[in-house]
Amino acid sequence: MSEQHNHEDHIDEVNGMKQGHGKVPRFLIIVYAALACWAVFYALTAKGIDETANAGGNTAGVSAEAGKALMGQSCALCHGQNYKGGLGPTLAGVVDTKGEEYVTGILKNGGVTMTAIAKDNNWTDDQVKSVIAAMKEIK
Amino acid sequence: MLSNAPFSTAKNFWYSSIFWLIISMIAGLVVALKQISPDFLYFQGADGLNFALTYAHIRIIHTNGILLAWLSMAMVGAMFYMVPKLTRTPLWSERLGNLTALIWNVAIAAAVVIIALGYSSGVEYAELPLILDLGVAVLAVLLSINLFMTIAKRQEKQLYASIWYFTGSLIWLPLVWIVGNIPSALVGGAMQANMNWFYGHNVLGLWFTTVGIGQIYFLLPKITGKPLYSHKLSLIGFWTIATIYVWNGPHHLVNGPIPVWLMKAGIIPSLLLIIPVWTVLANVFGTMKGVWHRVAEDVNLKFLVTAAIFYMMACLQGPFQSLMQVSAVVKFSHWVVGHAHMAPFAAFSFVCFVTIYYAVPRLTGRHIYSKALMNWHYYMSVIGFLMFAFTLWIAGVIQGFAWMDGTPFMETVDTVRTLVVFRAVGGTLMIVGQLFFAYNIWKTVKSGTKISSEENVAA
Repeated sequence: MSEQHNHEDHIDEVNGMKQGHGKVPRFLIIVYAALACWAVFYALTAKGIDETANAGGNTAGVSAEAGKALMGQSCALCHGQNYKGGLGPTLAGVVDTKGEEYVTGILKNGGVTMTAIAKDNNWTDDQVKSVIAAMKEIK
Repeated sequence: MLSNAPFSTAKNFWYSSIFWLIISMIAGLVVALKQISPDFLYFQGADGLNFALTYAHIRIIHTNGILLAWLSMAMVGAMFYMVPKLTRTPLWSERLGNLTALIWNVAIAAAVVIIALGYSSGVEYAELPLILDLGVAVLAVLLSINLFMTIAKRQEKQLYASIWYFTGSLIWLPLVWIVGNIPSALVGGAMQANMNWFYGHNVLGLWFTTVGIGQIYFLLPKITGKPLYSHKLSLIGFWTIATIYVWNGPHHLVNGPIPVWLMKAGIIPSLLLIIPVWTVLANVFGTMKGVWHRVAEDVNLKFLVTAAIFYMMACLQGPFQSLMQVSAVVKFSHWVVGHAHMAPFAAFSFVCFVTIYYAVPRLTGRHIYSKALMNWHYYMSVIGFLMFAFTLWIAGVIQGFAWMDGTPFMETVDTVRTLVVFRAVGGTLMIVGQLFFAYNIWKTVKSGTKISSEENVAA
């Protein structure tokens, strides 16, 4: 850029607009270079995010976390935001009082007014167990 | 019937754009109020009216109104003013220009009615039905012919940076518009979404941004009286935005049903955007060197510098939220709405305000009616916007993390309720500011004090 040094103070006029010939700030050149390096690095190394586990989409394996996600999608509408009852009854303590087998039956086959939510959503046995585990945690 | 007076096209575009600005922003406020209380503007028994005023219709009127009516018309007005000024050549045809303005207004009015009646393609930012899509394409061609013929007739061979930006924008707009609106519906699925976002983002990057920067390059030396800092920077900025921006569309579909390589092809250019943005800003700040004290007393300069700062902020936030991990949190939340207002409102609407405040006195021979109102316009817009945006950003982050936790949806709605109320307060301030603007321009044109011949308007 040194050969242009003598041009820098020179101002010319285009379409009645004065324009100078200031040089590109060094700081900006560093930014260009850094971004270029990052771009190559990112293009070669970045991988997509797999969130199926967090979203309750893992069909194998039992966890209260996965169950919570499934419940948020399928139970909250009727049983209330905190599962303390709404259109349907409260779910707090239901596994303790009625027993795991009974609740599993309701999930799979439906209740008096409730639909067979596990069957409708094609939940695997592990997913049903995850939901039971999540229900036990409702206080 | 159509005027042939010099610069009548620019004026007609601006006056109509201000009208649509007010209408579209009121539609925006209605939408904000409906988010607080869904029963707002619900009339018992008036089913037809309730259908027209439903949230989905008013929101589309707001977004299309702001983008196609206010911002596009204000920018087209700016080009009809600046291109003849720069080339020192009268506009090829003021009659054709005024005809374009007339058709544009009729098309927007028709769009409002059609959207309110429920006809929509259902694609965000590309809602207008096919017949109006074709209409907009014709308008783009009409105004391009007029401006290109003016540029072609010029005496001076070399072209100033503003004209490159305007010319580029006029070539890109029809391409971007047609790809995103017309054949995309035939493709369907994820590819349609990709084509729609090619339009959805590039209409900002290769139309609003580039016409906006063209205006900044015109206004800044005019208002400060200083030469543009660097010709080389304007070259770098122009060619990098032209090559990089067009890739930005897929970042709207990050973590969505598109291949990972396509996501990366959207994310990388989103970050590389920092190159053209900082290059333009280096040119702005380089030009401002030595005249910063003038910002305090000149409202136009205040608007212009604030616009440059918000442009920088928008183009830091944008690249940040295009990253997969960030997008996973903020996508679909209030955050995006806050971000989406920053460039169109706080950056490029501000630039258009300056263009109108700068040009109207020069075209009508009258001083701006009230400097105090200009100041009010500025402070209401900035404070209103900051309140509007920060409440949405905070609400968006809360929402995003709550959704990831699997918190039931209605609970997240309750959590951010107060923030949504404050968003509407900020939005109201923004609108009040624009009412000052509209009133001020109206009074200037009708009864502003005449500029006497010995006064120098260039100050």
